[in-house]
Amino acid sequence: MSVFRKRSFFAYLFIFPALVVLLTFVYFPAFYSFYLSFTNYNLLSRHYSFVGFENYWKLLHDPLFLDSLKHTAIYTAGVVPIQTLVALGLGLVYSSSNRFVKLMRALVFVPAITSSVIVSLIFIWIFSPSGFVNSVLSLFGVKPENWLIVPSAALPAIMSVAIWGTSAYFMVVFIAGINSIPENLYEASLIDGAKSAWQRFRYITLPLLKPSVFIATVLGMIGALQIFDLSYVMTNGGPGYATYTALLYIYDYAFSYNEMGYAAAASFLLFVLIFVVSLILRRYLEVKRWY
Amino acid sequence: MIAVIAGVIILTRTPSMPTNPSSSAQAPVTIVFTGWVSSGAEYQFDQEMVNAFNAQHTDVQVVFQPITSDYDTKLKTEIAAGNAPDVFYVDSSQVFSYVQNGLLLPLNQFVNSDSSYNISDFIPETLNAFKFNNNIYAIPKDWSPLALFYNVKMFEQAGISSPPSTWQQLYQDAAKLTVKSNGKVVTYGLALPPDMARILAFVYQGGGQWITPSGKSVATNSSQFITALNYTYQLIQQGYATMPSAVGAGWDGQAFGEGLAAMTIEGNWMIPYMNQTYPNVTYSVAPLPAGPAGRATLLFTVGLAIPYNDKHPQQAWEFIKFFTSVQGQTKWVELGLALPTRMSLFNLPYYQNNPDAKALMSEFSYAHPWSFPTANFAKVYNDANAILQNLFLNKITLEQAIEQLTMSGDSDLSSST
Amino acid sequence: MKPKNLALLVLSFVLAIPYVIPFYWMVLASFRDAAMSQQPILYPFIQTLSNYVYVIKTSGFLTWYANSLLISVVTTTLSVFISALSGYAFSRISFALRDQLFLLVLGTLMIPFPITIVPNFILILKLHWVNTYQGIIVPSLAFVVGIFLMREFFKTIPYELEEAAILDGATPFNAFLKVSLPLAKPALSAVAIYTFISVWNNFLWPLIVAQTPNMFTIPVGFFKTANGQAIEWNYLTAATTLAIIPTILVYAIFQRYFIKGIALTGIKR
Repeated sequence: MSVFRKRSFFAYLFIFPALVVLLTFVYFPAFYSFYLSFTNYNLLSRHYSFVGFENYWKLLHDPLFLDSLKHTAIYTAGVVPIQTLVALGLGLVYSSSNRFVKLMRALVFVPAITSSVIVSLIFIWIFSPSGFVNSVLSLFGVKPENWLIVPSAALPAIMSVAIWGTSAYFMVVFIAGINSIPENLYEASLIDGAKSAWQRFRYITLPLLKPSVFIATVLGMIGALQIFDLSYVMTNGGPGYATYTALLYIYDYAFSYNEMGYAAAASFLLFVLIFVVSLILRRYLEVKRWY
Repeated sequence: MIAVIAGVIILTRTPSMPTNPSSSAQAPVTIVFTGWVSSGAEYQFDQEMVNAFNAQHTDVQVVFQPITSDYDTKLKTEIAAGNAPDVFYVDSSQVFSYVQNGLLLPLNQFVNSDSSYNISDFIPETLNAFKFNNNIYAIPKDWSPLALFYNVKMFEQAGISSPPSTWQQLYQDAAKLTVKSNGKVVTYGLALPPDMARILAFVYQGGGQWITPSGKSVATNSSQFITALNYTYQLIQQGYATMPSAVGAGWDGQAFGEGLAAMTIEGNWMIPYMNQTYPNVTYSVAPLPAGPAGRATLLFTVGLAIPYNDKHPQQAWEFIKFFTSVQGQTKWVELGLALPTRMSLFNLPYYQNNPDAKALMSEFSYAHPWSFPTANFAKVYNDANAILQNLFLNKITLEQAIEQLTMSGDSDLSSST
Repeated sequence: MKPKNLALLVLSFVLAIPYVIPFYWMVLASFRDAAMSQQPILYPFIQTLSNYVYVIKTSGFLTWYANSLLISVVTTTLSVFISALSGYAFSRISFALRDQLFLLVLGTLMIPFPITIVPNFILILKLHWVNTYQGIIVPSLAFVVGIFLMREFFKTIPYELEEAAILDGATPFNAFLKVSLPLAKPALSAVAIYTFISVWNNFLWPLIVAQTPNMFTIPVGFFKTANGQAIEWNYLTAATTLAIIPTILVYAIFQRYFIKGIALTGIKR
């Protein structure tokens, strides 16, 4: 009995640091944020007051906020499926244990470990009038443009950079998943008459990868809904707010206009969105044996 | 273990703002001075001023700790944290939001009690940018108007003998200066960004205005405003002017320096920039062309202010006084970074010998301050620029742009926080 | 089998090209002077090293590098330790509220970062931690994915070894330190890499905390220099090349453990 209690004590001690940090810097801010969202707290003002649901009302009636949500939604709906598919494809190729392939895999991974700021700067260059994209397009007679300021091209440009940058990250999830499929399943399927690689893929690999697809999709979605770095550095939400995402809106209101209460309300609405989408994904994609 | 020790070491060696509240006569009072730094030259200059001040004073010592970007946010953060510097730069477009929240110490008490300071020597427009309800909240340390920078060689090649002085001439010159090669434009007549901080000059030249004096609405649907916006829009539409980003330049100064445009509209800071980055470009400066309502330009000015709760206001004032005195301003005039705010300095030899600086200086009588009585300036400005961008990119029509400018302007200005 | 193998090798090479090319150009551009670096870059040649000299000498790059290094190393070390401690406790010891507390930990993944920036900023403002190292480090210390990974890993280790140590008189903490931790090297490496790379590349939070250039990390410093001004590509590419070296090194060294670590905690269960 006493051993158990002593062990418990150590358990609490061990998890104490993590809990302190999480409670202080994640849960507390979340609740405080929720509280602030009902006030008009402005960094400069020495007094602030309770304004009820006014911030939320204003948000839902602000065309710019709704636009930013729209851009975020388009971005997510475009990036996540493509990213997952690309990651799956890459996973199939790079899960081999061949040394050369492993070396190639290490190369594929380089964008994923590079800072998003650096990736953004490189691509500003690539999309610029004298950059690579234009040199290729000019072969087809397309007039050189700075693609990041063409309103209809800016968001797709950023989306492609995102997919390029993070597909390797999710590739790892699929590699782990593929490598954990027991060999004997494939052997058994051969005996059962599955002749082609496609059949093996369709009836064994794919179903067993469902958990991986789930993880990649959920994590990908949570990340995509919070996109900031790429749009902030590459276009700063431009041209003319064409690439303005939800998090950019929150950042501007909090740090450029100093309206902290309003920004808190916006971030809470974003949280609700993320939560709801996660629930939906869980319902349709999750496989019970996750843990 | 090592990590814990490392952590402890870091925690105890925090770099933070030094404030030394000491009222004893022996230890000198340390005050902190901050500003943004637009260039290496400005940084050096500010540091030299600080050093000169420190050499002359034993009771006060100044420490210079610049904030190089996101200036307003960082400064407001420091004020909110009770960590504000004693003297700081404040831009004329931002000062109202500080004043409205009672964050600045009115300086009248210092100015009035010191007759040697001669406040009437200051250009009224610059001082007025920082005056509200008869309280002076900051002393303007320098100013710069917008002027027309033009490439002398390109003008010669196009057979233009003198810079344009009216809208019509500007339009024609821009057309002549736009050079094509193999069907592709190699040089544009004018580099013009979709930025209210440039377009507004045209608006004033057209007799219009943007934010009304009440600070609660915009006058963007007046015929004068529309005429001015249309004028700039036509330049872009016809291909005689370009947005810097369209040619891969970071700003219009770069486009001008790279030879992508023959003219641009910029301020004093262009001079050191061109000398440093594009020394081989021969350019000249002329006052901005006149519009239907005559000559007009924008006046950008930066002031030095003291926070409302400063612990050493007297010492902070000593530094401001030093910086903005006749001697202080004379010191940096020759750097060419900006123009002095004291009228007595207009006759310095530097201006007689320097036609470019003289051209800039000569515009002060028709310069409109870039200062508006609203605390929501950042929002109005960002929204307006986004609309201008869409207009220049042909995503919306001129009518739509006017409509959006009016709607968003009015709504942003009347927003209460 | 041979043709199939060859096809795989070729495919793995071809697919890797688009991921590597931008970096290839970037590195090549860093060795050219200003005029040349704008041209499309097809073949390697080293024209000049002056860009690197310039970057190292000016622009505070070294300071940012030092800051990034310091912050990444400290955060990673502390974070890995905290994750290991917590993961161990959650997997090994049964204590009251264990499952609920674990859910609490996992729950933070649901809370998106944006919701926390504003109050966290106000919090460090009151603590006078703005523009300090601890302001940047402390809020990022609890790495939930790390805790999860460590817990999964520890579940796979038989606890007879620790039991033996405890029966021999060791305290649970010592048992953890001397017995379990050394066994956890692969998982620790995986968590270490993830943390190091993500902290090194962290942009938004250091952007908010850092006020003066001497506190910038590399991503923040880069952004501030490139933003709005003329971007001088020759210097920028040299600087970015230097900046990605640590992450590549860390990745290269720990690569083996990286994938292994994920596989271990894997999706199996």
